[in-house]
Amino acid sequence: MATREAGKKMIMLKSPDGMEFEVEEAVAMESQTIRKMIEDDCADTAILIPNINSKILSRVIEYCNKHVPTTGATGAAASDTVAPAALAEDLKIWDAEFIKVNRATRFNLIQAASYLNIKGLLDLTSQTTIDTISDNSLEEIRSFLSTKNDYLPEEEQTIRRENQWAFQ
Amino acid sequence: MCSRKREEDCQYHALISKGEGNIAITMPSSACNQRKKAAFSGGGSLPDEIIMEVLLRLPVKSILRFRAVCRSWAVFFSTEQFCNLHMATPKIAPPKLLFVSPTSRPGSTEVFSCSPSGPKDDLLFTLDSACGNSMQVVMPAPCHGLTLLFDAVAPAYYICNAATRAVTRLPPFRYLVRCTSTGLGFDARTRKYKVVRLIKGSRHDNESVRCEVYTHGSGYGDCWRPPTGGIPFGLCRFAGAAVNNAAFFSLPPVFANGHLHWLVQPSLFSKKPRAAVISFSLAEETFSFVGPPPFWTSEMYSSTPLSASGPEFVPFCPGTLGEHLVQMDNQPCMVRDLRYNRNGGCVLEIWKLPDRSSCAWSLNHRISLLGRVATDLRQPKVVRVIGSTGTSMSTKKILIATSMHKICDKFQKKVYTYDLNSESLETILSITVAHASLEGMNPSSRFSLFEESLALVHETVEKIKLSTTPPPNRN
Repeated sequence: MATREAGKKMIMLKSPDGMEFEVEEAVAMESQTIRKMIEDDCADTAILIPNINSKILSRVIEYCNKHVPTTGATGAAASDTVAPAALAEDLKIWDAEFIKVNRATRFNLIQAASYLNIKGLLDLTSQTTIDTISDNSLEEIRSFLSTKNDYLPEEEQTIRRENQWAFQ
Repeated sequence: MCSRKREEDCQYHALISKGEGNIAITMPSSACNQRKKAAFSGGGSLPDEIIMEVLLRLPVKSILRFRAVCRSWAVFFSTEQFCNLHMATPKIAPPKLLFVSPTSRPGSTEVFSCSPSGPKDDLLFTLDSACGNSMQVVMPAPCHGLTLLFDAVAPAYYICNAATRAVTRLPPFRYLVRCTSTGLGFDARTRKYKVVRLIKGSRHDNESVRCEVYTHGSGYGDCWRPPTGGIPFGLCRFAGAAVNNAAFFSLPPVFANGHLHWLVQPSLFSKKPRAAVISFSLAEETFSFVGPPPFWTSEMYSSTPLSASGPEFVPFCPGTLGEHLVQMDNQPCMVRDLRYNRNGGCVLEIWKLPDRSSCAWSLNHRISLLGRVATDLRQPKVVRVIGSTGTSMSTKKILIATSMHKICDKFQKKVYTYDLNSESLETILSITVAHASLEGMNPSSRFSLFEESLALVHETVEKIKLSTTPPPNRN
């Protein structure tokens, strides 16, 4: 692609609260949604990202900056076959640090990752949520959802009996 | 377990858009969903599809437990749409295996799961009706969440879902001959699982190959039947050679791309065979074939086994140094075992079979085994690539199973992950098992990969019959 050789083509991303972020095209294209807009020539000089405030958008850009393939930086031939294991390990540690945010921010990041279609970020944020809730007790989940147990006692017993092992 | 009846009262609709590879789902706002929305977002407004993104990644154990949270969750988790999307969503987890193991009690088999990171093996279920040492895992990779087991003494097939710990015994099949090969496939059109058996006639009768099919949860009388399309006359010879190959070398068929694939053994022919792979379409129930790969050379069609290929090769031993099939990224591939390459290298090559998109064989991976990896993989007689984990190149690992004869009837079987980037080998399972026969050379006869899936295992007439007479199965 011609743009890749230039390497420095910039894209302006605007959040609904009026902030503007100038990012490299390659970084913005980590988002499949933005990639499609650019490839379809729907993108002018600035792209408005609805529903994602500047605080979240800046974190998303931070993520994309880190995860964009390193081809641009090193100038090496584009290839994902040469990603060394050390680099992958480094990214893993960075991700773990990145996702240390409060629940509201994490949910906002899930929403943003889903809208912008950034698979890696969606996996990271969803999986972190799963890790925090999958071992919760039923009571914790119910209070988390502020929902009531609407089973009759014998019905709940039946469900428990059907897969006894899952409750151990 | 998913309950189909509940689906009807469920108010949930799924809009699936797979075009972009993403999954978008909308749930109508019911009272429960509103509560969910408020709660999951911590007071903010989190749309339902975001909640779905999270729920689709839940482990099966949590889903089965969370059914007890409230009625609407139980209904929601039981819908076929949820089960399908849950299976299609990649989970970030280290590879897990299931393995079968005889118990101290005669006539009883235990099935465990194990993972390299897990502290101990988990007992999944016990099969009291199955004879301990005769239980085999038919294919090393599950087919859409289900695994096929075979009790060679009974003889009987079992279908199980290791994640939900459900298992059922299939009704008896028709043809009781030794030279057979069986596989489990999935018909994406009807969303039914089918068990397909190829049966070869007498040793000298190459033309006589039969096929029988069992549709799981079909309601068609729950029995084996002939396929819709028979084996075309022109393919009979190749189908016969494929069954021979599968039975003699313990090479199970491979399910990929809607077809079961059997490999034809070239040394059974005096000239280059027209077909290298026999394929069975699970939807059409018809047979087709794939032509030979570019590396099948004339010296392979000599009617004598592989030992004739040259003095550099190790002595002929069942299952070594031929080719085998494997499913990778849902594509059928052929693995060339070149561990004793004439050029001195130690190489495994993985070739993608030609398909509709390309009519040529293409080399996907060429794994040069170096240093310690080569030493580890040169020792065992049989090395088989059984699949891969990870979606992107940076996380992709190849799963390799090996079998090595120890003493008497004891075989050591190992499973490794091979990291394509770091070119390192990691052992994830090592077991020593007793086998009476050639089955011992099949590295994966006792285990399979473990897939997190809610796929339903239906009760069969056979299972109900067995469970009414003690001892019942524990599931």
